[in-house]
Amino acid sequence: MDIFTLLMWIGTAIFLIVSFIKNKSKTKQALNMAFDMGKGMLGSILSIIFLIGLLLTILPPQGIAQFIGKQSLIIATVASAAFGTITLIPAFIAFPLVGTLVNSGVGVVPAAAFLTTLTMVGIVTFPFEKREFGTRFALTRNILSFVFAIIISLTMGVILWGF
Amino acid sequence: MGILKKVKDNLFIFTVSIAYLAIFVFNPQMGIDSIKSSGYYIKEMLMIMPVVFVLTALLDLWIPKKR
Repeated sequence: MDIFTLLMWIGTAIFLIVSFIKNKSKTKQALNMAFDMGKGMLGSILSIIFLIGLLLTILPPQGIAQFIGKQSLIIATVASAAFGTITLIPAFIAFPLVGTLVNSGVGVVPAAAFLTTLTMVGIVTFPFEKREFGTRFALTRNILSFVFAIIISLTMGVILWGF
Repeated sequence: MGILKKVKDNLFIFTVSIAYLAIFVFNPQMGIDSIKSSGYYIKEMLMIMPVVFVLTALLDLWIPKKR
């Protein structure tokens, strides 16, 4: 466990203890709420994780890296961004996933594009977004996020290596 | 009818399960490898998810809502 995660755990534990001292029933209510949130999301998160495990076995990260490496940077970046739009996934899965890809040799620019759309643009999750915010909002936000994902990743390439 | 509705409500979980069933039938080694690489992400998830949910719930209850 890295230092940041550890600090999060310690901070949360302190918060929890203080909360418990100040208001026992409120704290119990919070824990129940946290438990319900986790229970509600666990099914879909576990399915996404097992799907990722399956995909990475069928398409090994090294193979993906090799394939992406052969394409031109622009095509690789736009295609990676497009792949990331399939669904929105939580950052705590997206980071280790893209970390695996980068460690296997996928370029930082396509990886950044993929990571950005993965956490910001979602086609599968679009109906939920539409239901909460309306079509105009959801469409505008997703399209802008896609465009900015490309801009972000290319700019990162410029900042990190200057090309 | 009950089963059909359950499948429809959990279509994604159901599809992933079927995919695993298929891969274990046709290539058990790949199935085991898939479970193993999933394990890494589950570990990553368990390291941060409880904190995120507990913190969210605590903040939700202690920070006064406007209006």
